[in-house]
Amino acid sequence: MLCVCASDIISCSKVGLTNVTLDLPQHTVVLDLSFNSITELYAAWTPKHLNRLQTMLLNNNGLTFLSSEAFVHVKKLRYLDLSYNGLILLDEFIFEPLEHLEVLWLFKNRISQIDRYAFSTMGALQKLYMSHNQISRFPLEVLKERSKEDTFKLLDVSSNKIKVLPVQELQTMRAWIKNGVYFHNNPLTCSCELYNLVASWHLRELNSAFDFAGNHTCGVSGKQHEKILNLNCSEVKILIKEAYLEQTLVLDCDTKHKYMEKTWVLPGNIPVSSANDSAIVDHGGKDDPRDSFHSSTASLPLEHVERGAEAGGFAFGDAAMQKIKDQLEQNGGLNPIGEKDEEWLRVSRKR
Amino acid sequence: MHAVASQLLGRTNVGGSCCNPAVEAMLLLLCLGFIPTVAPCPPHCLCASDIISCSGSNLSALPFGLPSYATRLDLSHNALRAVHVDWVSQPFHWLTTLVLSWNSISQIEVAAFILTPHLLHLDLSSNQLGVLNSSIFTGLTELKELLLIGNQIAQIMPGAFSDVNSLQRLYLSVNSLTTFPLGLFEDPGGPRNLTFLDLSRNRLSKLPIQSLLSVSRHAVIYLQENPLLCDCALIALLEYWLWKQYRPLVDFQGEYQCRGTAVREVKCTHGGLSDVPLVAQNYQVEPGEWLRVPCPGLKLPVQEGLIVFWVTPKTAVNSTASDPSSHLSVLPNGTLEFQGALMEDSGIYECVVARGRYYDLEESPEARVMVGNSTISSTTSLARRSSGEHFNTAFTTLASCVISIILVLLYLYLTPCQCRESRGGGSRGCGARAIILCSDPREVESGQRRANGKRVVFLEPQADDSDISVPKTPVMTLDHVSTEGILKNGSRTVGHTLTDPTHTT
Repeated sequence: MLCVCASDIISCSKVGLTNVTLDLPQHTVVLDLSFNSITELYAAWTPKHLNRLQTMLLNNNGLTFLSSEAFVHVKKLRYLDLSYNGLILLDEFIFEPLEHLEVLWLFKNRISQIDRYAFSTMGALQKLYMSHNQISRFPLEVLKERSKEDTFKLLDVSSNKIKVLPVQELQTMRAWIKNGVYFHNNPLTCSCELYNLVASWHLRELNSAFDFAGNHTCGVSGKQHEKILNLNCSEVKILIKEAYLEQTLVLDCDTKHKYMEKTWVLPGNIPVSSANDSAIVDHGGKDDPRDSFHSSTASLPLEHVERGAEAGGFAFGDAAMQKIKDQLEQNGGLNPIGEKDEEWLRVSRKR
Repeated sequence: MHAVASQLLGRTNVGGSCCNPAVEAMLLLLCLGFIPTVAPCPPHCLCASDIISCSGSNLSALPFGLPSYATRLDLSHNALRAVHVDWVSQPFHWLTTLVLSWNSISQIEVAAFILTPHLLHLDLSSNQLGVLNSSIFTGLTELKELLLIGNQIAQIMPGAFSDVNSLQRLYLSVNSLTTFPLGLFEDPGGPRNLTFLDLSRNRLSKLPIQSLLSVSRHAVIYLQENPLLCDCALIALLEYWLWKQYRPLVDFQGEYQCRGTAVREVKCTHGGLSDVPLVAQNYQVEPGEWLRVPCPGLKLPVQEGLIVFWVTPKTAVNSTASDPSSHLSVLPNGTLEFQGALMEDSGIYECVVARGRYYDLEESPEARVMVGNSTISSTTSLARRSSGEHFNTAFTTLASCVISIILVLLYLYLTPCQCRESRGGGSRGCGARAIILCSDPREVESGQRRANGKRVVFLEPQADDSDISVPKTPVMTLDHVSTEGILKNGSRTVGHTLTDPTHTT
């Protein structure tokens, strides 16, 4: 065979395969079938179960048909690359056996129809790439199902044909999920609701909005290419809370990265602790602040907070790449943001 | 830049009015500071969220201006010739996977990977690298997996892997290596935890057997399809690995060849080995004593020139090379000698010598040495854990359970208690909360005796001034027994009769 065989990697890339029936050794962990001419994949491509196969590359094959049994023998798959093919529709059976799949690449196909249950059994799915297809409906069910698991990281439906975004639903999600929902380059309909979403995500420096700032466009009655961030809508402020004395104010620390250690700081940089009575911090019921990737809320009884003062929430992570600071502003009064620029600028604008 | 700034300003001002001096200050600061510029996607590439794919585009030069948000960059199946120092112009802080396979790369400049310091997976397979120069992978301190399959690598210069401390998996199959790259394991500053090394399909003939014995305790090393020179030492190694069910041998047993001949057919010329079945030996010695452990299954006298290896808990030693600083040595007849045993010498020692046959499953060339009172933490023979330990644990548990039950029963049945009709103070004479209901003789007469004469219930002590609204009947009555019972779900029920079919216990 023309394939290149290392110990647990078998590479049959660009060897002119068409009908595939491979008798692969049981210890195969990575199988590369990319850049061939495999247009249809049936269960018979492997006669035996390959229980150690973790990665399968089928990109660039002109694949148009996947039988419902295509992946029945490779149930332990973790990475599947089906990008750069000609798939048109995803039914509910194709990915049903893939309960361990973590990353699925489906970009650059011709997918226009996705069954609502196409990904429902993939409990381990972390990243789903579906950009550059013909998708017209935002697959909200995928996001809702998968975001229940703590492992979900990314849903990419950019560069498709989506006209309507479920804005309300998206805004209810935690920041670390929004951080991975990419929807740029779609023919969305302009609205101030959409502006609010994109602007607030941009302000929060969420990757999905920030990395593609110029690519968020929308259209009004057919005319496209209006940049969403240029729309004439009312100002978006994030996380500004107003309260009155004698009230209890609850502030939420919703970070775009999980597993951040969160601490709260009162005006004057006084750290919040149980010793000083000023605030009660709730790490979502977990003892270790590091566990509270869901939320960390601080309840501030407002007798002692001065008017116009600023409290902050800081989140720190162990990520080798950077430390992230999320800042909340809490105004006792009605100060416009303009006067707070100096304070705001202190926060690093680096990602 | 101005457009970006005004976009950002859009959040503070409606309609773009900016007559606030603070805002202008911010504008200035933004211009001077970091403004995140979003690079467009280069031609011939596809940018999807955090992936950039420029695969299969016949590129002969690296695309300029790749966006730096990517976590995965795929440049495979192109016509790239080299990786120059300036292949990227800005740091790629997020890049964890770089695929450069199926190109024509023959040269990698030193410090080419300085701007991708967080790379975890690098694929350079199917290229034309001939030699790995010193410091070729500088900067890749976090790299875990490196694929160099299918190049023409004939030489690995010292220092090639000096920066790659975190490397765990290295694929060097289908290359032209002639010597085993021991530097990967022995060079200071190299990979600290290399657990997977694939050297299959190279040109290796002579192998450093002792080093392999030592290293293979922690790493899987694949050596199939090499033109190996099968001397007795190599045969000893292969027999030993097979006995240990070493994965590379289990998966590829048929593909180990000795210059064209299958290993099974090569006879180790140093005959005279006994066919005595191997049984593990145990040795107990006090610290400071000398100990000699003969090689199991090796008939003396030993053929001249036969090398005998011993795998120790820490390393491996053999009968030809002797380390004067070590108190451990192997005598010419294969016996392992401890010149003054130390406590930390306790462990399992395996004698590796070509015995010319496969071992049966229950055979073992092991010698278990115990120095002093120390116990051996066995990694190979878990089944040999002393059964006495198990027995002691089980017995103690059983005994304590039995004693607890006995005590409880004693408490319940031997505490004197009088049957009284009234509640209140009567309950105190019977222990804290338990009352044994005595059967009322009148009940017997009336013939309404239940199947079980006695029941044990848990009752609350009744307060004298209880104002419970539900009327309570006395504990003992003619017709029924009314109790305030605590059901399984913790709720209180009052007034249920014991005949109530819904009263589940």
